[in-house]
Amino acid sequence: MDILSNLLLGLSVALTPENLLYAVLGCVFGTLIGVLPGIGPSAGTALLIPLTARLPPTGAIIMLTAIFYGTQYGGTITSILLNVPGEAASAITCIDGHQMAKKGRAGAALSVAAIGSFIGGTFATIALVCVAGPLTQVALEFGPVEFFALMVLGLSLLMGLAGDSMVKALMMGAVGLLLAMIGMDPVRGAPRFTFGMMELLDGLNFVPVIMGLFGLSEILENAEKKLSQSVGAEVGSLIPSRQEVRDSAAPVIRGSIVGTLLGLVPGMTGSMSSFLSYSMEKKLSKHPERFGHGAVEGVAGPETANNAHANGALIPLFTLGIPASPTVAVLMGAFMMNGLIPGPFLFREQPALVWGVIASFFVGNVILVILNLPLISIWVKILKIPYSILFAVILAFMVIGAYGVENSIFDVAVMLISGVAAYLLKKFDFPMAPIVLTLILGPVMERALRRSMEMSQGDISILFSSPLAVVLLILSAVIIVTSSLKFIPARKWSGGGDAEV
Amino acid sequence: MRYASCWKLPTLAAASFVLAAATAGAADFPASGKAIQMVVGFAAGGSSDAGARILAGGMEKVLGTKVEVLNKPGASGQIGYTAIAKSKPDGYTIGLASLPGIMVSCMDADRKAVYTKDSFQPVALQVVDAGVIAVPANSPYKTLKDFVDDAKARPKKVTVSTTGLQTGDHFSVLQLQKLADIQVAIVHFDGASTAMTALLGKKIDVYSGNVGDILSQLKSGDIRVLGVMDNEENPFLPGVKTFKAQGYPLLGGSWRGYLVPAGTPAPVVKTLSDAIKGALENNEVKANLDKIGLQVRYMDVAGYSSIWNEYAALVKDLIPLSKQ
Amino acid sequence: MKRISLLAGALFLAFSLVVCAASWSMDYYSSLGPGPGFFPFWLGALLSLLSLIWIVQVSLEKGEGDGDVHFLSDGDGLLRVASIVGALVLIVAFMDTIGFQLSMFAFLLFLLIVLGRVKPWLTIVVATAGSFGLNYMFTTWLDVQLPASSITALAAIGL
Repeated sequence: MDILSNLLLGLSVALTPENLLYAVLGCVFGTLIGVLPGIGPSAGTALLIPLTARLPPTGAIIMLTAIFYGTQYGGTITSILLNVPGEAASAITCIDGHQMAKKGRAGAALSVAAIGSFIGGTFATIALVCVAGPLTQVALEFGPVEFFALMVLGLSLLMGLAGDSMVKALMMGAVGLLLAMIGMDPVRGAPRFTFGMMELLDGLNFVPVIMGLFGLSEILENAEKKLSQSVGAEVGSLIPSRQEVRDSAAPVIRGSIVGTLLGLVPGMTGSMSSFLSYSMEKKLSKHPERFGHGAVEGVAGPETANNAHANGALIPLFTLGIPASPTVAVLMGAFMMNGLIPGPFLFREQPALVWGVIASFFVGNVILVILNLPLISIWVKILKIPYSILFAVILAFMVIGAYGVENSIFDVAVMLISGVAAYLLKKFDFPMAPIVLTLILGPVMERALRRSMEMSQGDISILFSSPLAVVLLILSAVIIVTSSLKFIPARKWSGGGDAEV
Repeated sequence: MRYASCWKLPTLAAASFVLAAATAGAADFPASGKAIQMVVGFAAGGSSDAGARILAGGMEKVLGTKVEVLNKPGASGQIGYTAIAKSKPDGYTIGLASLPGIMVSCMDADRKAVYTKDSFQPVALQVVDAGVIAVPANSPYKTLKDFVDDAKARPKKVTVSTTGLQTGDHFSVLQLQKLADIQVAIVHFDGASTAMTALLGKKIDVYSGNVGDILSQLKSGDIRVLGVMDNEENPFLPGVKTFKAQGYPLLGGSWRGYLVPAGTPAPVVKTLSDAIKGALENNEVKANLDKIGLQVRYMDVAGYSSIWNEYAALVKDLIPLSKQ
Repeated sequence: MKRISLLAGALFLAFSLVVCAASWSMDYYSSLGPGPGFFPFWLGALLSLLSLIWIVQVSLEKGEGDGDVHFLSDGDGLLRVASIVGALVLIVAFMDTIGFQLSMFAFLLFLLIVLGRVKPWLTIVVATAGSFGLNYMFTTWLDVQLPASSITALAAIGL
């Protein structure tokens, strides 16, 4: 059994005390980000990347992925207790979750959500394990030519992330690509757009840019409003009634499947999965009138779906190196910062690392259940910290985080400029996700193209010389055409687009 | 600074007395209690940084004063090199330099460096990661000659990887083209692992890189090494002939040593060089460097300076060729 | 909002034309395919085209309730945003001179006073922990050197 031996290898890595600690830390930080309504998953993950910079790669990735899927758990807590979604994917949980809380069933709602999340996350991870094994066999098929095609596919996803306005998304995509051009070019080492600044020869550092785009801009947006919060609801008994368990079973199974499948589709965000699951449960229910008045199905389904989605979205990242959502793009940046390029070759080169990280997902999901049920009162207390203190401390961490990347104040300035620019751009409803996607994939694509040309000594037909590459290129063409069609009748997605950010 | 915490060794005051007596002329260097800064132009946690930190720990013991590592990564080391060149030439700032990288930044006008090769005074060589040429185990090339003959027969058709534009292995391939009068298709990757994957997937024919990066593939029997670019055989590659022995005297790989700004008094330079020598003779330092795959090769001021000048001539020649 | 969108569109257009012009000075094509200037040039061209489309889109929009939409929030909100940005600018400008600990202490003190009124003792505690405390944590446990002051007198007392 190949899968079994891989998993055993993974568990042997994930269960070392050191890596277990990183998983716990990641889960704690993830839940924290989820709990705090001010910061979304991409902002939070971006903010915490510097924290992992000094860790060994395996530990760093374990911790960051745990932060990523941990946010999905934490968001539920505020949705249920405060009727304020901690992050977008848990927004729908407010409807029935908060109603349950009003009826004194907050504890039961939290339990159902946590257990559903656990099942959903585990289900998606099993799917990842099943797909990843066979894919590692084709790892060596990916040379520069195939890699170029793969990156084209990745960039075509830009259209999927477009949200409301294709023009604005493409503009941001172009800006991201232009930012990626800064530094020495891969062709002959000529400086591009460096304005004579030595700090720019290596290109912009990814971390401060992303911290600015997502983290700082979000803080500035929140600072505009007068923020205040009050925690009213009591948690109550954590044990769901027999009836609640029975009602939740089917929604949890359906939510796992919906979330995992949508997670695979690039451009779908976690909120779409939870919205879809909610409407599906309402349609399938024999008593749809109970929805909106504290139906446990309305908590179990969406909460399972968004966690299955979060883990499912890691499947294309791990197997192909394609980030399917903005937050996963941030994660991919973290991989690259550790000198790792996600994709099939990583399974070949660093099996212990990849399988260790995958095994840590199972471990992490267990940790999260523990964090979210017995320890729930801690999170409720954290919700009482005044915003002014919270923001000041987060800003201090951002300064250190950006500085720490290369011990340079230059990067703090980069973060500041990106943050202010993003804050202003968001006023015009420009989406930020395309910038990250292109900033990461653009240079990789340019290099793969250059490499292919070097191999053929300038003959462009090499790009179509491999069947695998041709298939990938056709697939990208299909994606571009179908997502353009979406925009011809001007119809909008509900809860979609850039909602995850 | 992933490896950092392990190397904080207690300073031994006793050692400094012994040394101070031995090196006349630099009697007041280093002043006790005054820390020496070691500028490392590469990110914390990488191989360069780890090697420097191990050495810094060893030097502390010999010199009896703190040696603090300061990471100034960016622009392929150029930010760190700039900091070294601009520092006071008093011996209290010393920096890591990697050949041929530093020479490229000195000589390539596009890099707009504020220093030249004469802004630095070489102190000592620490480690050498020799360059090699490797092929997949089932490649038709059994010897270096097979490869060269085929490249001659089919100009610009045989693909050779490098680990990046203007890296040591890029210059090695350029040198080989010149010496053997061949033309190959040079394909630049980002780092050793992507290039090695392409070699194993038969996407490229020949791999050019450093010994340290190929050992695991060599052990698993996936690749064959055709030659090592050094003056002597490599302890990690028993039985592999040098390029020199096969008729192509070329220098390759990555040579890491230490510099101070030009104008530092000669006795101070000698004290530092001797301290590096002393540190590298320490068994614990040696074992730790070995653990991270670095092959120690100490060279004194004169020896390192001659390598320095050899590279200066070489890189100057090859830079125009590297920008095609 | 419409007028300011048009202004933003014009800025984008100008930016993209500058990019095009700048990339023209780099080699457009090399012996082995696209050169350093190839992608920047076409990206600049693409961005200018997209900005034009956006400008047209905006100018065709019906101005519905334009008067109600404020581009920047008013009063207190704007003050808070401006103080955060201003504080960050100052810390970028002065951290290398007066060192991490002092600049961060001032930074936190300022933000806590401007952003929200918390008890004075809490302000002091948070500012101290966030500056001196964090510095201790990062230098001791994480081995990250945060900048010390470049003023010798301050550096001598460990700031």
